[in-house]
Amino acid sequence: MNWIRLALASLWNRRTTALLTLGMVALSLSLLLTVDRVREDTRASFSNTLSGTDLIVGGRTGSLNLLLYSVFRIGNATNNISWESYADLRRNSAVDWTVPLSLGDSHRGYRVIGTTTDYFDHYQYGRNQSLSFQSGQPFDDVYDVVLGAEVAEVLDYQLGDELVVAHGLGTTSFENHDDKPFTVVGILEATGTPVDRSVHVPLEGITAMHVDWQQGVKLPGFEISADEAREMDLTPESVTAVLVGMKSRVQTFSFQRLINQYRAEPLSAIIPGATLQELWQLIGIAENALIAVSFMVVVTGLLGMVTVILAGLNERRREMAILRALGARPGHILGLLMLESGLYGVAGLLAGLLLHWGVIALASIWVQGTYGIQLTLALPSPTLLLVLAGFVGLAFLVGLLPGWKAYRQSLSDGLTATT
Amino acid sequence: MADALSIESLAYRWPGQQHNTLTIDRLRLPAGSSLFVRGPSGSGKSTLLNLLAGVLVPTQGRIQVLDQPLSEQSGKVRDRFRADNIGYIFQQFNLLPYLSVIDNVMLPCRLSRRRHDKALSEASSLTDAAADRLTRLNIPEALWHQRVSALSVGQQQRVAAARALMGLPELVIADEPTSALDQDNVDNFMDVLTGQCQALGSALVFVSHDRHLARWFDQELELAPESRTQSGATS
Repeated sequence: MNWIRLALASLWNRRTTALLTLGMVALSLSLLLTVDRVREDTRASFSNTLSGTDLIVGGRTGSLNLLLYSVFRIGNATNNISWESYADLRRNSAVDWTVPLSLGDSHRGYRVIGTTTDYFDHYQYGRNQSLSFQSGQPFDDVYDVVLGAEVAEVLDYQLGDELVVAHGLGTTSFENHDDKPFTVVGILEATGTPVDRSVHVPLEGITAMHVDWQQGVKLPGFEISADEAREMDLTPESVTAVLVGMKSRVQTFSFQRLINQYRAEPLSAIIPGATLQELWQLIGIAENALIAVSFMVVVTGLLGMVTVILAGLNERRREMAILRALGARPGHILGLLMLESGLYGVAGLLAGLLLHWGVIALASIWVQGTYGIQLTLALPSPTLLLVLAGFVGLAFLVGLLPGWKAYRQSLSDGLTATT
Repeated sequence: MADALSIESLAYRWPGQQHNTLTIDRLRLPAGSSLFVRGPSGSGKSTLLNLLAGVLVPTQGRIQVLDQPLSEQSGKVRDRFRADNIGYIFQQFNLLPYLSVIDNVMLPCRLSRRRHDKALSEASSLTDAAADRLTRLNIPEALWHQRVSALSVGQQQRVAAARALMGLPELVIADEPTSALDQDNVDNFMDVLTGQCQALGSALVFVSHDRHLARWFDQELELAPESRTQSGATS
């Protein structure tokens, strides 16, 4: 009946306290919601980055490390694969295709990938989606470059523009390969993966840039122009990693063993999905800690809310006595306080959801740009929805505490409360 | 018609106390008439009011309000009965600060279906019924939609009386409602309260320590400080 209206009017009368309390509940819930959303989206983003690749081969290194630098552009390679070894594994009859990757240079903070046109044919992300071109085409010439969608958009490059690659991976580099500029011939469609933030050049381009370099520094007085370099043998000495597709998935394990026991040089081969699982196990610990902290914050919010209601009871003795005089039963008084507590829960949940969506909407721009993770505006996961339903139930339930106190108070005060 | 009130060999003792707080041998108040209950503090006035309103039950004896033997009924029935049949006026702070004046007056009809229906039998809407009560108690219309805090203490007490009379309760109980008022306001308040209770046919039980107020009432009951009270019904 009118108890909801009364509870709302009473809350409105105490709106400063009520709004602050609501803010506390909403903030605690939005923390939980946001942590869970970031967790889900991070996983989705990592899982969507690479598909269709059966093995990743690199110099001998940790499997996580290999996965991170070859696919996610995080960290650096410690060892390379010699061109001979690469040629050898490419010749293996079990191998369907290979995509060599050569890393180590950058352009204004974006990593430069030396590769072959096979990259555009075989690299797949999400649910086996292939790369496609927004404009232009794959590189053909040594000094052609294909840009990821984000690189082109943020740095405002069009087809035909020229750019210079920097040596090393920093955002600002003092050493540029400015004698050998590259021409933009293609821009890829956005994929929501690190490809968007990559600058793709032919392997020969990487070699050409470095013909007059040795040990990571430019040889003084020994300069070879772009056109002179074009005439040289630009077969690279090594590549950083190789994406491998098998003719038959069944052969993946035996081929992986073969690579791991490769005689000529120490190599590692990993299965991307399996290594991703290792990554989740590692990250899972941190995730669980974050979720646990968020839960504690939510519980703290609930406790704070009960405290606020309890603290206000004494000055509301008059209110309770008036309601009693008008025929309210002690049970009504108890119900009224449970209702108030529950209203905080429901309103806190709604406000928390709005706050969460607001935060995600704002943060997603920055997170997308910085980490390449796409945060989504969506309803919480089914599990979390259950938790939230439980929270609302709990909010009503903890109202029993102030409700019981008010019940006792109204029984002992009767109609003669004098405060 | 049943008496508004009848009491027989009533005694009330707070739990853990040695002596009775209140004893009344016999008391009868005919429907529609008024009773002045006088006594110093500690004489059990508040206890009597809580008993009449059905918030407390007597340790001994019998209370019948209208046709209901309150002393024999469950708390739930007594609370329902209070909502349906009794208008209550406190010493002060009668009104919920978060409702407007007129919403405060309509409150009894929102909490009791019986009073809701009775209010609608005499007026076309609850608002009209509340307007009638406010007019009867001389509350200027300009104040009806104000916040309670905009009213003087005297006005607040008259609004409380208007609320007590909403939906034609058979019994109005007033707990020293004039103690916070100055003399002019007391006279004014007593005039309209007793006048309107009479006009609307509600019995009135009025408690005060101020003997000068007795002249407004049909009957008088004196509670002795040590609570060995005699039936003082005079008429």
